Amino acid sequence: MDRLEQAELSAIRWFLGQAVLLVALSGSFFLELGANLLISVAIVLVLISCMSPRPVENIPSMLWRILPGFLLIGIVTDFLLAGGDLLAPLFRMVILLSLYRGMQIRTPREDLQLLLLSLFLLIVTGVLSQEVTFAIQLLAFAPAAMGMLFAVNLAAQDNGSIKEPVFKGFRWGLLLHRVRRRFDYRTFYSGILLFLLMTGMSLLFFILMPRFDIGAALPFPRLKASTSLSGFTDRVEYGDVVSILEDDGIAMRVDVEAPDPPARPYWRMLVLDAYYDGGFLVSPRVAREHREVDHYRFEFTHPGRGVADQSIWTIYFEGSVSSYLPASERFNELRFNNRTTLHLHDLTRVHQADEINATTLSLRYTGMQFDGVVPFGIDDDPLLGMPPVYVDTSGPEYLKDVAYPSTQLSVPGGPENQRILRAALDQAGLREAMPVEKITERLVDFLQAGRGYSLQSRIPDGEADRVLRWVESGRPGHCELYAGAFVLLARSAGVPARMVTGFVGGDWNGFENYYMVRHRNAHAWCEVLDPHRGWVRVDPTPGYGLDPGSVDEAMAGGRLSIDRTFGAYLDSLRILWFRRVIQFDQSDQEEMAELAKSAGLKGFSWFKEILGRVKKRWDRDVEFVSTTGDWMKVLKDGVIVIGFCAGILTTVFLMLRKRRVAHYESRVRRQAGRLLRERDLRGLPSGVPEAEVVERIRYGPVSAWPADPVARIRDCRKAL
Amino acid sequence: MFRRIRNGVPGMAEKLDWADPGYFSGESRIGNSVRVLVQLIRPPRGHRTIPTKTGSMLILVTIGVGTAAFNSGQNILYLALSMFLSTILVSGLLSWLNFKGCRWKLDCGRHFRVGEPSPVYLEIKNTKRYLPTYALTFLTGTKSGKGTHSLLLNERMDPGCHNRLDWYFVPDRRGRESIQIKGMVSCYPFGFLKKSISDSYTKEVIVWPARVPYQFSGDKAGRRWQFGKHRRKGDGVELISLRDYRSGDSLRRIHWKATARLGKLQTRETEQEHHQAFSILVDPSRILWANEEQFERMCSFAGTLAEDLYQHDQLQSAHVLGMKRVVVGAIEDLYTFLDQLGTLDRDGSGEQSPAMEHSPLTVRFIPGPEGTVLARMEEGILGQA
Repeated sequence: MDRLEQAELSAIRWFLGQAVLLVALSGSFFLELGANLLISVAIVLVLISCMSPRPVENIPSMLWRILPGFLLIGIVTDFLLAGGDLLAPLFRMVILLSLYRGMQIRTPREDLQLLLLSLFLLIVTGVLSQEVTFAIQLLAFAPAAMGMLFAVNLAAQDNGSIKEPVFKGFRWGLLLHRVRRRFDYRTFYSGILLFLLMTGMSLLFFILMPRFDIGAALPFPRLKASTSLSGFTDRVEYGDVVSILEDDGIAMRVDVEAPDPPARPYWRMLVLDAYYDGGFLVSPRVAREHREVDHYRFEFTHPGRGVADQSIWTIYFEGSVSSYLPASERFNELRFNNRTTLHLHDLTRVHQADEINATTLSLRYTGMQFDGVVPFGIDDDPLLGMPPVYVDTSGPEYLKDVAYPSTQLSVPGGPENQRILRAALDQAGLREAMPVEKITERLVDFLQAGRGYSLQSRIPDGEADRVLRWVESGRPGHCELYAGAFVLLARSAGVPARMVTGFVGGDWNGFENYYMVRHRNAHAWCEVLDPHRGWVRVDPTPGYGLDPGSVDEAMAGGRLSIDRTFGAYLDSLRILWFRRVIQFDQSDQEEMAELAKSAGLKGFSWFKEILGRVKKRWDRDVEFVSTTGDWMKVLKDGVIVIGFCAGILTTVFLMLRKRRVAHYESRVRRQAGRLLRERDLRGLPSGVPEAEVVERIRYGPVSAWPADPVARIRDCRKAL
Repeated sequence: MFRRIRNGVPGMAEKLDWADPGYFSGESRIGNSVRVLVQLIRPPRGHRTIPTKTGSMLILVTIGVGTAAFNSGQNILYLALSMFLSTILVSGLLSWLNFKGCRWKLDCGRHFRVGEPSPVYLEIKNTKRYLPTYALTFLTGTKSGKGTHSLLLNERMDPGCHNRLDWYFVPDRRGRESIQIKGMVSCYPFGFLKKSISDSYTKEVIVWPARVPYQFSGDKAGRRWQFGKHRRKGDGVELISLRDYRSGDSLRRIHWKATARLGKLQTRETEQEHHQAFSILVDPSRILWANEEQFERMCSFAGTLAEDLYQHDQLQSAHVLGMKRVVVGAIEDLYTFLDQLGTLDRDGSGEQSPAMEHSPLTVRFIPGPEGTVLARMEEGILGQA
């Protein structure tokens, strides 16, 4: 038989090990753990070794003996220099060890070590990134690993040892030719069936395994980013938000299970209450005063909860955006997959994670309300009736003397600033004792009159603050300028106001029906304090005034951008991954059980209906015959049914009979054999009648059997 | 399910008996399926499935990942856990399938002799319809022997194919021996689980005594026996005399040189080829053979001598006292005698065959000095081992 040589099998085992390593390394590449260079080098070396394995064989063994010492020094140094961060140096250590093993001619024990290291890399990558690529990696890893272990099994020699691969004279063409010659299509199809079986069983296990609502911490340190986007930090300067607008990348995906979601929701992330010439920032008191809560579920029981229905909004917040988490003005509950440390800023009703996530973070809100009204804060009462506070806003130093909530009425002092503000208020037509709503409307109209939207806005020089110079210039501007200007004008008019940054709207993915909120959806708007309602959202930027309504209304009116591009399709696969795998929990299991149950009930009721129809027809036929006596008419119905039943019964009977005939003989022989074994007849003198009978039944032809062999075996059992 | 094969059971048809794992031993398909499912959970006696080092590692990793998954609720970990569990299950299922449909039987050579390798053949066939069989190891050995020999089927055995594994068994003692298949082991497919099916498939054989060097001068006995008697004329090659040609003599018998010398046709008269046929008599009396070692040597001597005499067509019969005398005609008769020697034990019967007593060419064996064994006839000692 033309079989593969032991050395060839070992070579295949070695190459499969390289493939396993490549799969593990390729997924790790996108984790930002400071190992990209190392991973690149490792991938290149592994690929070279696959193309030309002979140099690997020629590496002197002395090198492999002295290298571990250097590796150990390097790894320890890396840990020491990491300054308490365990994850990144651990990751690098595993990659180094994998590379060390990958570049050797391995024994099966070393193959197993490589497999374990690669598996560790794969799982860590999957847990940290939670990307759909993990599934693809797993599907590539599994067959390669199984193939490698299978090759180890086949390559075992008679004495249990396994020959190491020999690459002298190795050529890919020759090996592939030999493999093709030895190829057996049955084994190949069996392998495919096996893989499908394994995948199917995995899915079944995944669905059926119980989920417990423990919400414990992750077993690994969480991957965190060092920086966030510039527009979503505690200090936002003019241009920071605009700089994000040119980025078309997705900042978050929002999956909605709610009736009539708004077509353009405002995702409130950061409230900047303090102004200075150049931007807005979070005042020290707001930044300092927050509650730190460590849990995976946060209920918000403050006055003015979200909507009463249990609508679920799941936000998949991409990494490196911000530590501040997007939310609507009001909601009932926020859940994470795992225990998380959250900073709750009760003064401004924003919440902030402990660190900036580097990978996708999943937030599940219940009862989100997008009506644009934030309830009164715990310290907002003093603001009512407070006059504007004039401060030197050339820098944020004034905040040493002015604290929240007064920062929300702080207005730039100085003659030029005052002049511009007064002129603007006059032009806006503001009067004494106007309601806040009217003031807001007038100010928005004033700002938008004769001005447009532009990301490039040239502000003329002058003594006044930048944003006031822009107000006076009448030039087009962007959201930061409009929002900043509105805040200052509102404060001058005695209305407490503050800037809010976050995201607005997003594209609607037409494949899986969810929001794709991109970086270019970053926005700045305002909140003003209405003494009757609370903090009311105001968006002075042109184009954002008209509410497009719900998603359905906007789609009908062509006011919602629906994305059906190929990119959107690929993105929809990602959301499916998050929905069906990452977010799969007990409620999903219950839902699937309900679906299965309803499908079963549906099938059962269909069957019952068919039976009912048959019975009805039968009753009708019986009645017909009894009244008319005409059998022929109903014979047709009867023949079909009876024929069908007879066919089934005949088939079953024939199959059973055939099986009975085939099995009878072997069963009786086995009974005889069992008796012989149990009683250990060897050694008994030949000629014992009972022993001879049993032996004849066991070994002799059927024609030599006695009548009723089963009974004879029973009798012999008693006799022996 | 393994069967014992006994040689020489009279009156039976030839037993072509293949062993199998015994998975589907019942009549009803449903019953078989239920039994198989139960066996997968609770293996029957003799069936074991234990994890290998790789398998233990996988189980440990699975437990670790499973613990992390249940604690953290991470679905990625659940996914990995599902993959590990399905791998273990599929591995067990395939391991079971690998044995299914396998049939094997043991066969061996006719002769087993102490100290000499004899072939033992393990025939295997794959009766499955679609799936091949891989990587089976058969554990063979003997009942008396120490240790087990492994026969590895490391080639793929396609459906419907046969294969044969050879083993050379070197017995170390004379007597009845049982060659066994102690079990089958397989780590197919991934080496996670080592599945073994154990039982004893036994084939009984008789091991003949070892061949030993010896000295034996049989023609001395022959010549002495023939001394003083008339040499018979016949068709041999040894020239006795020349005579004148008579009508009817064969032309081949004409001695041409003598004819030329004497001037008239001369015919050669040759001696008749006398055939010395010995008989061997073995007395296993304990009184005679107090020394066990000498007794063994005697058996070896008797067997070796019998074989050599048979090869020279000089063995007429062989008799072990207490057993049936074997008149040696065909090779099977010699084997019968050697079988008798193989199973011979010392006893104290002292029975003697009256007929053999009077045969002048009967070779008997007696203990000699310093552990030797002497072969003697009526006239004296003819050989030694």
